[in-house]
Amino acid sequence: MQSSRRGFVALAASSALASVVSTTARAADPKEHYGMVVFLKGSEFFNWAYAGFQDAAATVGATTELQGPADWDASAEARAVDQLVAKGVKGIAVTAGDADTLIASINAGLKAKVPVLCFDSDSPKSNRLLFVGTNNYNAGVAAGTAVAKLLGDKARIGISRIPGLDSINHRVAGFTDALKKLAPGAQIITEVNDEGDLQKAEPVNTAMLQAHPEINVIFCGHGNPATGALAATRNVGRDKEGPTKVYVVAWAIDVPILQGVEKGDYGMTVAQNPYMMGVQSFLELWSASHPTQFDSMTNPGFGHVPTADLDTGVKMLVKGDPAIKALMTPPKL
Amino acid sequence: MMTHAANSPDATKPTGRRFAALSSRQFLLVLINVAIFLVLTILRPDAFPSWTNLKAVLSLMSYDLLIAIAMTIVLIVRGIDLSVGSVLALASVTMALLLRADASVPVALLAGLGVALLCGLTNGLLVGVVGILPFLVTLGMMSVARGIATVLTTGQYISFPNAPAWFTLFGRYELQIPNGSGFYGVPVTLIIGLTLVVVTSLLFSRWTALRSFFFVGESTEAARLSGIKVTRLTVAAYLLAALFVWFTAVLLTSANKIGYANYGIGAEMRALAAAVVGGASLAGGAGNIFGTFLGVLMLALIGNGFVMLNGNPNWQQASVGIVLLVAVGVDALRTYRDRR
Repeated sequence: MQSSRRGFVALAASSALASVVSTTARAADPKEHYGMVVFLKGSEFFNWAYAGFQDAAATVGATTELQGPADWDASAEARAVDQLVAKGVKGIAVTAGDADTLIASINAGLKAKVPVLCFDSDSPKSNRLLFVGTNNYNAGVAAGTAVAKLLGDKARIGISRIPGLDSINHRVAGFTDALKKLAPGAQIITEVNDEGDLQKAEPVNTAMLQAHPEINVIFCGHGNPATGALAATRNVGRDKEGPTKVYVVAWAIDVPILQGVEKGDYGMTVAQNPYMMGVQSFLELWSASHPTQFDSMTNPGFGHVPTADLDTGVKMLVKGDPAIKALMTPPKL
Repeated sequence: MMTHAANSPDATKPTGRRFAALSSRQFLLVLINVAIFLVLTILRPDAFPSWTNLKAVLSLMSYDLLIAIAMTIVLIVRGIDLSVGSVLALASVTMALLLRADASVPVALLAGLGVALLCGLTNGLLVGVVGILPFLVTLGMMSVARGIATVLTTGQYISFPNAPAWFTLFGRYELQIPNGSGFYGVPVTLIIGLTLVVVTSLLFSRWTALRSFFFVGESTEAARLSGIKVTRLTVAAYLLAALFVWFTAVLLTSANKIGYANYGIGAEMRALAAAVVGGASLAGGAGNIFGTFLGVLMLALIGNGFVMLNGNPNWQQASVGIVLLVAVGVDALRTYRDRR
């Protein structure tokens, strides 16, 4: 298990580092210090992100620290950003618990010439240098491609989602576009509102399967409905392998979901790459804090970073994928 | 006045008023539920009336039912408990974390019960002894309990793969009842929910201490002058509510095999809607457990019908809000009429 985790980490790190570090012979000032600010500090997802941040920093001899609240308190995140700026760190990667709450702190950091970027959850109205994270449309395309490969034109899909959220709209749009291209005979039958509630997901998905028995895939547009959707397939007796099986496509890398994928309960899950988010965040901050002879065109005074958002991609995890075991052993910080 | 009397202790006296109880709001609710059932059966005969669907509706509404009973109890004493969903999450997380740490099931259950009762006791003392508005107290508890649950879990699912199998199977267990050619599987959650409805209804109609809740809710001052221990009963109401929240947490944690800090989000709204629809009043002194059951059933049937009839998902949550607004409006009219 340990070796598979190392393999996962090494693969992600090497592909990212090769592009920047190999072209940069110089090492950072040993005193350089960078900060990462998260909400839900201690969660597996952000532990992965910070592990990537740390590993990337180690390659240039920089040090790092992780700050932020253990809950969703975005104002506590804003204070953490302010404190890191006051401390004089060389760069800050922040995931925005609330997009608007962090605007002032991010902008203040940049005004103080500290590079600040967002990862995983964006604050698009701020002046952050760039966003590093999952492109929801592309992730939806990956899920749609996987379903097209699994069932082709026979796919009949019900979607469990929260209406009105841009992130989920983009995922569903990517999913739909991929199906149209790769399996034009596949159909999206209906959508249900799970209200973002694990408890609510079960009754609405059960009713959906009763109302539309032709459905053979439930696509979960976000992290919460997966367990409810799986329970719904059991409620209607369509959880076992065979012609009537309903495949649940989850959108989470929580351990119980990964265990379910490994057991074959879930058809697959969309796995984001928080480790890569950490790696790329550090590398972009490092680049921004080391201006070359030619300043950034978009952020004068800083080094170059991409002007477009940086997509860290997803992987569709199915039973037997070695990345499952790696993800089930999250880093302890 | 008739509706109000139907939900007060007098309504359960073995007199002509018993008929009044049957012909009041609960009777209307029975008719509404039957009407919804018939409409859905006519519109979706292929899907709605199947045992699989009805079983899912009835068993999955059990969680909301227990929470709604908790809400009804505090509404009777002129309180409100906005923290029911958050305390549910905190109790669930507590039990799951202990089970994951290989604590025995009884220890985990007792710890969950202790946490729920502590929240209930805090609510009860702040409302009954300190005299802070129930809305404010339980709003605060809502944030505190959810916050602690989130911090304890960092927002993640807490699974407990090494817990005894009987506990993880319990929440999904079905009693097999022969139906000639095969069996009907009757979920244990449904049996527990219905049993608690019957037992609680009986206790509220026959046990003097619980009947006194109505007097406290109708007029705290009058109840105090009558020698009723108002503070003690107020605290007891919040503790009793916490007990039902704990029951829900146990069933939900067992059924889903995970503890989760986001369990019960919005549960207070559904519970409030069901309780008020069922005859409870925000002005206190009224409430009916069977009525609450009918209110929960109505909301569950509406929710099921929404999906069955391909309702626009954007309107799903609004439908519960509309039911709540109508119920509160009717309740306000009733209170106004009674005071005149």
